[in-house]
Amino acid sequence: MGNNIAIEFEHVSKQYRLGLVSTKTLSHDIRRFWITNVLGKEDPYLKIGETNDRASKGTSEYVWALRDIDFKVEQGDVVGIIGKNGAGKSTLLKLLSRVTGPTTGIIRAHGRIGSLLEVGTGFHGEMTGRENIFMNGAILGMTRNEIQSKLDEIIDFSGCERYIDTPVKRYSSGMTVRLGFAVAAFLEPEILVVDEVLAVGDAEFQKKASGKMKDVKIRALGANWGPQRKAA
Amino acid sequence: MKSEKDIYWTTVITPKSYAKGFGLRDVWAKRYLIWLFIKRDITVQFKQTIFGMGWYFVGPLFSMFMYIIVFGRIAGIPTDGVPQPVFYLSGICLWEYFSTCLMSASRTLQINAGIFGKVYFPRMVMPISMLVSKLFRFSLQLCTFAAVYIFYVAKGLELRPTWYLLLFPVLVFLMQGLALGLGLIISSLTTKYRDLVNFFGVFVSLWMYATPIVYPLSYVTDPTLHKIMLYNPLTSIIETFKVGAYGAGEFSWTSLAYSAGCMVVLLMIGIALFNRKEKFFIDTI
Repeated sequence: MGNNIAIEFEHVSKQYRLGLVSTKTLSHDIRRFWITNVLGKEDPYLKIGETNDRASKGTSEYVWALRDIDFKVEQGDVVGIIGKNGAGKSTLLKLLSRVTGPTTGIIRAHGRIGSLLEVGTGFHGEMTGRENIFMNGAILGMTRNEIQSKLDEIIDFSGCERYIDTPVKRYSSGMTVRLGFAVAAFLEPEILVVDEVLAVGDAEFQKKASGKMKDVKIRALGANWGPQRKAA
Repeated sequence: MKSEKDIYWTTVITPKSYAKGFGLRDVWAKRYLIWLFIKRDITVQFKQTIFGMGWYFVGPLFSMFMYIIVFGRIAGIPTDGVPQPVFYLSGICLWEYFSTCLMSASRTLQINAGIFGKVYFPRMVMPISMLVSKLFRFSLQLCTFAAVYIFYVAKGLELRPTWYLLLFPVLVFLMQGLALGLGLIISSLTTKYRDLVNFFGVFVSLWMYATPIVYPLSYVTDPTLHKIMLYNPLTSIIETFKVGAYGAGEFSWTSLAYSAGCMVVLLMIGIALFNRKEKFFIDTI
């Protein structure tokens, strides 16, 4: 085994349940419990899943968003994942970000994972831009010292210096997004997971953002990043 | 045995990788994040209210007046020889802290589903920071209690705190532990079965009447009922506070130890359940 692999997916599958989760689940669980624990048979709900095709009507309530995914990403690779809506791109990144767990399979990673599924997670309108930088940075996994040392750069990159001590609820939506992205841009993890968040801000800011991403010469995995990429 | 291969990977995600050692080490590593959530919660509470802090001082007084009328005047329940306002306020402050902690811990996963769906950090960070930020409101309410207390002392009433008041930090810790443990259990159960939320809402409001808040424990003269009351882990906490604050109530180390035991058991069950749920709850919420 080569020691330069950053991310490894081994037989990873993810099953979702369709429809209203709040109805009938108690009875489903009782049935599932009865079959798996009392009769000792295999879980019926893991078997009847079918392939994920959003346009055609399926017969099962369960669906495989990801099925038997195997791939490896080497250190230094920049990987983009493209596909139709509902193909499972975001699900894959959510698994890697540990937001939800896989149904089967193993994911292994070497290095600190920074995950950017949304910009400005944890922002609160009542808090100032500066306070939100600390909040958002800490949520993304930065330490206090890291945020402190990069604070000036983050503020400068966001271009919101004049409003940095104003509550974020007074910001325009573009400014909020710029601030959120600025924090994420200085996250500097070893593995960066990005999901469609680079399509933010105005043309000038997008240029700045893509430039920043090119600077990040590290192992990165992203879905649909940058509108330019998507158009190409 | 760990092979060389296992050591190489810093993160291994499987369908069943539960946090080791209750995941408390991961929570401790995020203490700065906890601090930020505490700060956020306190700041936000004040920026959105008209009266600001004033509300927290006055809030318990409303409940107090209601209790004086209903339980004091109409029902005629005695208050262990302590002036009614002092007696009711002591119970109200403690119960309010406990029940708000319990309610916010039990709704952790539901309220924070937005953040939890976008980024991973130990989910327990949220309920723990809630326990601390609610202390702020609790301390303001205790100020109201202290003010009323001093008013009666100034009027010349024989009200004296006892040494048991030194146990107060322990009492707060016990309430936090009980609220967190039970809250995590409820939170884990309600991710799938939402109707349980309503059930627990009713349960908590009835629980107050099973705790000596609006009546003294000494008023429960039936020996069987008195014994049953002591099975409520909050009974001894409330009574100890009353003994400490004005020397009226029942104190025993045994029942306080029982409450501590309950706390440990509930916390262990709660954290174990919560850790099991934390991985997949976002799919079912």
